[in-house]
Amino acid sequence: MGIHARSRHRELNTLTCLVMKLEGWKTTVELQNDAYVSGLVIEVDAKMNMQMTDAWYTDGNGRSIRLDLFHVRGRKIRYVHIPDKMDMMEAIRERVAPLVRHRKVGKKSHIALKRTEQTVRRFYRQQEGEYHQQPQQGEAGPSGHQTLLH
Amino acid sequence: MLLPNEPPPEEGIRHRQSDIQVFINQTEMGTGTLYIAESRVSWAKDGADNNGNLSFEYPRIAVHAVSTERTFFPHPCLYLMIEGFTGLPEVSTTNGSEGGASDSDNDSDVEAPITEVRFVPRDLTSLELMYKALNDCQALHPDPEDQDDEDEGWLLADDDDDDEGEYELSQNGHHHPGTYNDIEIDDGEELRVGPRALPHPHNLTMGRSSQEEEEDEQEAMETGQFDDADM
Repeated sequence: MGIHARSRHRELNTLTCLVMKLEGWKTTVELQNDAYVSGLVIEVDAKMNMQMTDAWYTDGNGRSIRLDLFHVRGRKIRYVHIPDKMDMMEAIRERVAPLVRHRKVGKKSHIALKRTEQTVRRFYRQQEGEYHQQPQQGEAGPSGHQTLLH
Repeated sequence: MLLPNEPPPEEGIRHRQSDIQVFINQTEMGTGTLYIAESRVSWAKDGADNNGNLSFEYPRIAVHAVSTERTFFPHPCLYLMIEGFTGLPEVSTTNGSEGGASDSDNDSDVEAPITEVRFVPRDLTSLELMYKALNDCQALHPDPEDQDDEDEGWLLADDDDDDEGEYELSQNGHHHPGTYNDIEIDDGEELRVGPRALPHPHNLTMGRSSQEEEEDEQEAMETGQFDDADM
């Protein structure tokens, strides 16, 4: 499989497509070294390598520094905060099955999209079930953000 | 880090910048030339005949950034966070919590040693160019695919001009975890979806539209999930 196909494959089969839609948004990303970075997302590739600008990097000790330009390897990301204002399903739809007039959308894109929707719906149900079985766990993320585990 | 006295690469150099001072964890190590090559990042100290050279591989460069703020470091610099043992003096990852007893789902339970490398150029306009060269080269070094076996009936990326015959999809959203419907295509071709196609669901939390919440609530009422609730 060529490089392009592999990237597209990864996009269709993971939620990287959602993170890729964050280009142009301001958000917070938590890294695996317990640091977090807040800034404007410039670019995200299919490996979830992410570039930010005007970023504030806070390390595990709470020390903050401003970085004009910031790049992190996708693998090093633990959480990505998805802004409340983003319609996640719509964002996924746009990447997986874009509305392009001159090109028919592949049926495999539609299938990928359906599967993602089913997965998300199933997950909501599971969450609901688990929530009622366990004592309350701390809610993930500060208010105003949804949190997506990488 | 590779052999510390390895000469700089000779091919695939995306950016070369002389007059670069390097600091390892805030310790100054001299002035030399930085080579950002497709294979690795290399710094050669001036006039040292390759003694004291530095070399970094991209998979271990977790973060790279341009920092012009002088709060913690007095010079505008190209900052690299290197993970793993480099043979250089290291700082351990600074965790907010004490010791190693953090949350159980912390997947970096072993503290990886971190080396902070700062390249301070004489020419400040080079900072952005070096940053971009690093971006491009990082894209050339993806991590090895950890999980998927791409031959196993995964949903494959389609070509642009796929045949657009009619197709049926399973409309049933009520899957049981661990079982997957075969998706039937009208032309007789069957697509099987591998079980590892899904992201790990157990830590996903997302906001929900009120309509979906309502629908799920009704469903939950029917299945008797809330039978013990006070009404």
